Amino acid sequence: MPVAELAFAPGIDAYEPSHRGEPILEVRNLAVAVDDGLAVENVDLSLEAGRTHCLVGESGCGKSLTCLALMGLLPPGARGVSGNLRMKGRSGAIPEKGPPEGLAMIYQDATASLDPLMTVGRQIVEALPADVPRRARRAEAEDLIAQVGIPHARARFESYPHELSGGMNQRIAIAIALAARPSVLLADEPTTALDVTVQARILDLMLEFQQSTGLAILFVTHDLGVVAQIAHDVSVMYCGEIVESGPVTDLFAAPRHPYSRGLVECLPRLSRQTERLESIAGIVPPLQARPTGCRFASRCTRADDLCSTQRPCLERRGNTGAVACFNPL
Amino acid sequence: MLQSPLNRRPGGLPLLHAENLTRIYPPPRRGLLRRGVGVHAVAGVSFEIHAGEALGLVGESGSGKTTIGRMVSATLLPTSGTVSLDGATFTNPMPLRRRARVQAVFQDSLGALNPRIRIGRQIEEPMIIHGFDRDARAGRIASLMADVGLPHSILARFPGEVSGGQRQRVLIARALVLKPEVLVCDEPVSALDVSVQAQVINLLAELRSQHRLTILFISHDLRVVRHLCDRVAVLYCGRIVEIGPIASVIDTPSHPYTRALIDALPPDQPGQRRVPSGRSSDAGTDASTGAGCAFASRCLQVEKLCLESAPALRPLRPGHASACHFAGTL
Amino acid sequence: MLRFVVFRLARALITIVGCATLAFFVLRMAGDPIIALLPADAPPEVMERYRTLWGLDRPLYEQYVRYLISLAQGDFGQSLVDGRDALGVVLERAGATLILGGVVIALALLIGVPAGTFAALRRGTPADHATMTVAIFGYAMPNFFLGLLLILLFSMQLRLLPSSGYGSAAHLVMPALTLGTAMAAKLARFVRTSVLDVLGQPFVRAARGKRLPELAVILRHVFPNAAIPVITFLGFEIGLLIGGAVVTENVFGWPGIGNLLVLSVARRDLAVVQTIVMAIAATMVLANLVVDLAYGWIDPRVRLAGGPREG
Repeated sequence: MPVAELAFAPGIDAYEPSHRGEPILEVRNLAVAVDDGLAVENVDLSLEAGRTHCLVGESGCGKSLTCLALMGLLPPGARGVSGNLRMKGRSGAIPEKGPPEGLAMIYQDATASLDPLMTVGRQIVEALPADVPRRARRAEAEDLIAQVGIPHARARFESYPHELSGGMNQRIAIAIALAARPSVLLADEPTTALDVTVQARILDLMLEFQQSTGLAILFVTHDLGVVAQIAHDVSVMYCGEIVESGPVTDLFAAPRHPYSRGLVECLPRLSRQTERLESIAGIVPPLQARPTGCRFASRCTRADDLCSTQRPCLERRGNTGAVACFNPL
Repeated sequence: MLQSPLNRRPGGLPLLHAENLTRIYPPPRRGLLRRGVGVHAVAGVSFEIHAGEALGLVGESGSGKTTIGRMVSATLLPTSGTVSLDGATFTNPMPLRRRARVQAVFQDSLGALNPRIRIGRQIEEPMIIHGFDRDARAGRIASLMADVGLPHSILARFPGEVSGGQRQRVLIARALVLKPEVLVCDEPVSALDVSVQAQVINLLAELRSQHRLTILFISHDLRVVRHLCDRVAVLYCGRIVEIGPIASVIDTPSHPYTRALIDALPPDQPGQRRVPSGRSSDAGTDASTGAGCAFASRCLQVEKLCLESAPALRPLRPGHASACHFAGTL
Repeated sequence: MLRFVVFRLARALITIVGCATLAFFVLRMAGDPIIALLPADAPPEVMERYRTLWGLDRPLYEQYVRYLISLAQGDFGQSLVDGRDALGVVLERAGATLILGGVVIALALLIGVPAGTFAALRRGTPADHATMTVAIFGYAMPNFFLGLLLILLFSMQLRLLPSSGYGSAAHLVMPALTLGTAMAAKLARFVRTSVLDVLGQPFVRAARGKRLPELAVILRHVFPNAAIPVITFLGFEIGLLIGGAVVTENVFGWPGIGNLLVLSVARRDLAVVQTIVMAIAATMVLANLVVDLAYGWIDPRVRLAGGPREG
């Protein structure tokens, strides 16, 4: 499908970060078309050096697809992508074949994202920039293995993915992503399949790298706990759209969108034991059956007539965040 | 192995009693005759659950929690040790009537249901096996659907046609169809989205109070366990390292591993500092290794004694026990 | 490694002897070789003489034990037709079959692998459909029919190639095409499926995410992974190839083992048929062994579990 033919909702003036210099990566109006319609729509994101932006939402909301679209790695089912990408001052269309320079990604299932027939060392070497001389490549890869906290880097260079644990493979995946010397790292649920103790160490590791290199991270997750731990900014996605965006403290202290509030409330917490967990009634509508108005309307306790006929746009509220709701909290 | 007095609660005999459960998985064959040493997935695990109580079983992958769940739900025979219900020990084969008293719900709801058989038929099947007549079956299914909050129309669908949350409810309905006393839940919510996860946890809590269900709840997530369970047993390498009332274990963890698990959890609110994570070695899975404490290699408070002798599970307070040499001084 | 080799050799031996045993009994149940060999009007005394000479008058089990004993001594028996050593008779025909088989496999690989890969990379396009349509024709066509068509076209009509015989490259063209077309076609379809499967794997996406040139992604990541099922397939195909060779060699008068087999069965040349059966069994066992070794070479996971390299 030619990009120009994609239908768009009216353009919006979304949440602009009102602080700290130029964003390192800006996405405007990202849309991804699949067979049944637009799986991702109107997505605007902006990432800054040294900060983590979390993209939260439930399965099927389009958060992984957003990452893959930015990387130019859309799955075969995707029919087309449109939008603008501005990176380090250079702007252009969303890439269709492979990522732009400076962008790297960590994938959801680390073990599956490693070639089972190739040593992990060679897979890291492969990701090094082309200008690293041939003789220095192995040493550099071993360095990266050590940096991601794997002992005996020299021996581990020769290991195959099946010889390492899930946590180790996730570290290798991080080493591969870092090998490209990215300024922006996309991380798609990198710790979801891991044990909590391993998850904690992987998150610490990513944080360390961010602090030492000023990496901007877009972190995709469904776990609000992880968001609380690592995010500076958050965008909440529902049914392919961003419904709320802002600093993480605002999301937890005073969520504006009823869906965001639901997500925050239904997180089981260690510090309190309530009789019932809050939950959001109903289920996410499938792509073919998305309502015409607000997509959350059917599950929302605050919905009125306007919500079922008109689609709210993401608009700035106050001076920090943006929310797409006619009746925000 | 020490057991009975430490986890018996006042108030009569326990409903379910696991005693000294051990499961050794045979090693892979190497060559024609040579066989390696078996893996101790579970080694000498004992616990009791009282009627209407929910016991959580937490641990990392490979800690043996699923193996225990399968032994307790009588789908796997222990290598040694026994499970007994109301004093009657599980046998193989087990009489149908007794088998029906313990049912299980597993994580992989798609794998646990036959994709080519309609959901209604799959819920009904256990009752057919147990000889219920048609009217009794229809009545039971109607009340079950109300209990688990599913529309009647779902009975005519195939498992692949419904959402993950609905499938998990179907599994719960199927497990409850014979009115079991004990429900073993192995990670029933970890594959679900948070909003749906909360719905299913609430459902289990309701069922528990309405039907006085006894639950063994297996999970890697202490946060979920806290919401649903009265007591929790923490597993490490096939052994219980700490067991006690949920609040007591979470507020005053008495084993370094329990503490590590709690510290590793993401915070509830942004800005709450988490303690930096411990040693970077990954968990072992074999309970048979070495003379010392299995956790010693990852423990931040390891002492010489820990490398020399394995600590036994010892009571600290009523109902709260820990298998750490230094449990009292943590 | 040694243990692995010894184990595999023992198993191979059992398989080969098993095949020989089967052939031994089936042949003797299929009819009296004396009647097939001697003229129909040969006097009964002569028939009896030959019977005694070749040991065919003994009870079946005794014949079998004698056969096994001589096998163990490396004696495959004598051809009933000309009294020569059966092994020698078979070996002098083996060369022709090996040449034909080798050329066929090379042809199949050279056509099937690129065609399959091409179709997979152009999935759903007219190029893909065209390639696969040709492939379906290729393997739906029976061997003997394709052989006859080729003879009609190239020998009868165009008079470009000799219709049968052995000795020059021109003689090889049609038998190789006859056998190679079907194999190349099957291989193309198999490679396509296999490559498509690998293309959908997360690690291929991850490799593309490294900004590698597409050719590097295909050569380094897609091909080795797609090769694993293809090797299994080739192992089976080599076995089937021998069956196909029997027909094709006869159509084109190619003096290989397949040709000899048909001749010897018709003549009830017991020792030669048994030797051929054992040779075919040995080839298949060898093909299987090569497949297993190739697995170990390509796939480190097999290397660990299979034994050659422990730990």
